[in-house]
Amino acid sequence: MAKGDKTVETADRTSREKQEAGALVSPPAALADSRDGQPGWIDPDMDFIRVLSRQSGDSLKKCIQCGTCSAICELSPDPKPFPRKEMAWAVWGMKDRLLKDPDVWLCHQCNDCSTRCPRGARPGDVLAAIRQQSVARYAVPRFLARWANEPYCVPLLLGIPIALLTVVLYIGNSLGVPQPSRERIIFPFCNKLPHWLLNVSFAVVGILVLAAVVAGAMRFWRAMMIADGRDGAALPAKSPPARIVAALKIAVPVLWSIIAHDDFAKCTKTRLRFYSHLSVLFGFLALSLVAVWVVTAKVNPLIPDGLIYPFGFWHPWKLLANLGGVAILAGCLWMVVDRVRDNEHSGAFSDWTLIVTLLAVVVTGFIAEILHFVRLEPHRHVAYFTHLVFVLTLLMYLPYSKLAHIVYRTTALIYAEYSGRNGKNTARTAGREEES
Amino acid sequence: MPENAAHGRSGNGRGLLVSILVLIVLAPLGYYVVRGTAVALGGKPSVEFLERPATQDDRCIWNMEAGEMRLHHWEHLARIREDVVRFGKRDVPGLNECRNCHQSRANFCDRCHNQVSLTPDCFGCHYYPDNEHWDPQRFPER
Amino acid sequence: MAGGSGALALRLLTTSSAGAPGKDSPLAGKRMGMVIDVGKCQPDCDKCIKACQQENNVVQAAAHKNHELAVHWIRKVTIRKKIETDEKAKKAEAAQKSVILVCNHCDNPPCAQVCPVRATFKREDGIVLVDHHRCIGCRYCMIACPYNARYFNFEDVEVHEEDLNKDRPKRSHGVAESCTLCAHRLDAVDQDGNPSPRVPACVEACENGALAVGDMNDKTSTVYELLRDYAVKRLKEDLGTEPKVHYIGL
Repeated sequence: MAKGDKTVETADRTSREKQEAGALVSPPAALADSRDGQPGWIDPDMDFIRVLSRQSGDSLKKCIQCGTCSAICELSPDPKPFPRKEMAWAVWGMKDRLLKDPDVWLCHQCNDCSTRCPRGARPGDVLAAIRQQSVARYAVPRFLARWANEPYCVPLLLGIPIALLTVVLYIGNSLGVPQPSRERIIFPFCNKLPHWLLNVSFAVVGILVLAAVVAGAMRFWRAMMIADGRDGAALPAKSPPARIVAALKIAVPVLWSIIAHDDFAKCTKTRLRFYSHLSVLFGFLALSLVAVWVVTAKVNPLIPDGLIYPFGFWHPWKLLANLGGVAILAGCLWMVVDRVRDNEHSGAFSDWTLIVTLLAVVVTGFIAEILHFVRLEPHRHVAYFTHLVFVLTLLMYLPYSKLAHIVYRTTALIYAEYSGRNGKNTARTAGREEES
Repeated sequence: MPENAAHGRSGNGRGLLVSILVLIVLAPLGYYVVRGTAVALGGKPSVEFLERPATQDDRCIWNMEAGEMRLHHWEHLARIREDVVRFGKRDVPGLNECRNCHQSRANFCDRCHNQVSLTPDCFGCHYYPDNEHWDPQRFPER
Repeated sequence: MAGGSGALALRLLTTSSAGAPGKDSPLAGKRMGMVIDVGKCQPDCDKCIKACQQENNVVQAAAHKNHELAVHWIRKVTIRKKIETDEKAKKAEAAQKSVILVCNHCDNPPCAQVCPVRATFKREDGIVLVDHHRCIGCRYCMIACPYNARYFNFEDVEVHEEDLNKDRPKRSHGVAESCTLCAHRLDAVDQDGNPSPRVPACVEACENGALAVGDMNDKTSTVYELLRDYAVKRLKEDLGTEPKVHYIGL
């Protein structure tokens, strides 16, 4: 591996003129996408280059491979730093290599590199576009991820949850089944909506999404393993319990560092992104927890005496949900302000769809809540339906939209920890802190 | 870039902030885990739903299931109210008749209403006994 | 309302549509009225007032220490003949009469006309009522009423449980109200749902037979007979409110 890496680095430097000329002709043999060391040819994927260019604002080809981005990046590990090599691969259309590359996901798009790039090539945006392509490659089924990236698919994407919910409501109403009397969970004020059916359908969608997420993550993991020549390699420990312990030893610190926003904290260009992302993440966690609690209330052994829904204002879960909603609202608004202020990084389509969907979820949620409290019929049911549509949209397209970064970035970070890629990074940062 | 590494969000402050956030998110879950465990170990659930009627009759005079009642009682009461006040029809039992069986407002009405943050003003005018406990004299069968 | 659950649950109440009164309305064809025989009314008797207050939980509100805030559904006034300035009239003994005043349940009620939320309305049988659930407490009706029959609950009055007529609502803050002609007694039904009207509390309490309440269209009722046999007066007839409280010997 080490030998191959060096040649790639060298090749990056020497290929400058060719790039600037836009020529994608026979690059050095060592660049060939083959692990057995045999010389080969690059087969640039022109479509891929075009898509990346479009999604990253046509800045891709400005790259002169100077390396400022890699030097500046706080998150980049010392050996094989990114995003410079990714920029080279992107220009050459090396789709396969890029999509197997965990480094793409180590980037948190703080855009330190984009600000300092002497040519305005905006590596941060290019990496974001690559990530979106990566999602499209590993997502199950793929066509949904393709749709999720196309602005003209928005009516279709919104239409699916609307149709689904309408069908559920129609079935619920035509069955005419009232709430069973000995029900453990009751919905006193939502009798217009067949809640048990809604819960079931949300649970089914949730399970499907979970399956899609796991399948996508496994594909991604396998691809990274094969790319690194670790195919078939396992954790050193032999017995299953010891393996689990070993896996946890890797995963738990990574998960904690994600929750604690270790990487965001290193970002210098837009420091407040730390707070906005933190706020949105915790709001999302809180709301997900509340939703799971409500949907699974029927089988929850912790509430043998049942659940009255909707909760009263001072109910612990309601308080948490309201806090979560406010957190997401504030975080998202700040993200919007951030993007509007920064003229250059105005955000890609997938970026905006996620923010707008999140905002729509919380705004319609709060409207539904207020209308519920003032008991405005039938507006509150309409608002609630709209809210459900956006929640379902967010949930359904989780594995395909930008929200998929929850899955893929986590997978990549765990992989980086597992393959020892992240180890030196922390050492470097620690050393730097001592210096200061 | 020493100034970058030194800026405020590294170190203990951030750990504390994140830990507090995690605690807030997990607080309701923790509460229910403790409570559920207590109930499983033989404790009494603190919230009983509704007061069971204190009569020997199993059926409501409205001839409705308990679930139906929970879902629709205010609609029926509003309808009955309209009939009584506007049209002088008093053949359907109303709020006054509820208290013949369900003697405790605290148990029968307020629990649910409190749970869902409702403060209906029925009881500003209409009498409903507020006693916590059932009157055993009234229904000796029980 | 179109929900299946609603349809199932409402079987019990299908006859009682909340819209316009149907043919089965118990009030159809009735015209309730009151006759007060001033001659029979004793000046020092207040049994009807006490009975009304007990029946309708007005005791505490009527005894309010600030008499401007007190609520009276039925009250008693003493009227004198106008004293003329000329000598003849001065010599004449100023005749005094004790008169019961209640809501006149006008056929053409000004209070109902001004009510912005239609809380005050005239029932099919002519009784003018306030829907307290809907009243917003604007007090237009108090201004509109030429008989000063309307009162307003300026304050919540604390009533002890033992003093309470538990089958009747308490008086509560913020709504206007007046005599209901004890509509709840007139509408009363027995256990099988058949009408079994009772006379209003004041009529029941009057030992002198000075009061009568009933259906003026019903030829068997006392009210009908009294109106047929006696000359009656109504208050402020010139206003065109068509009151239905009649006075004999006023």
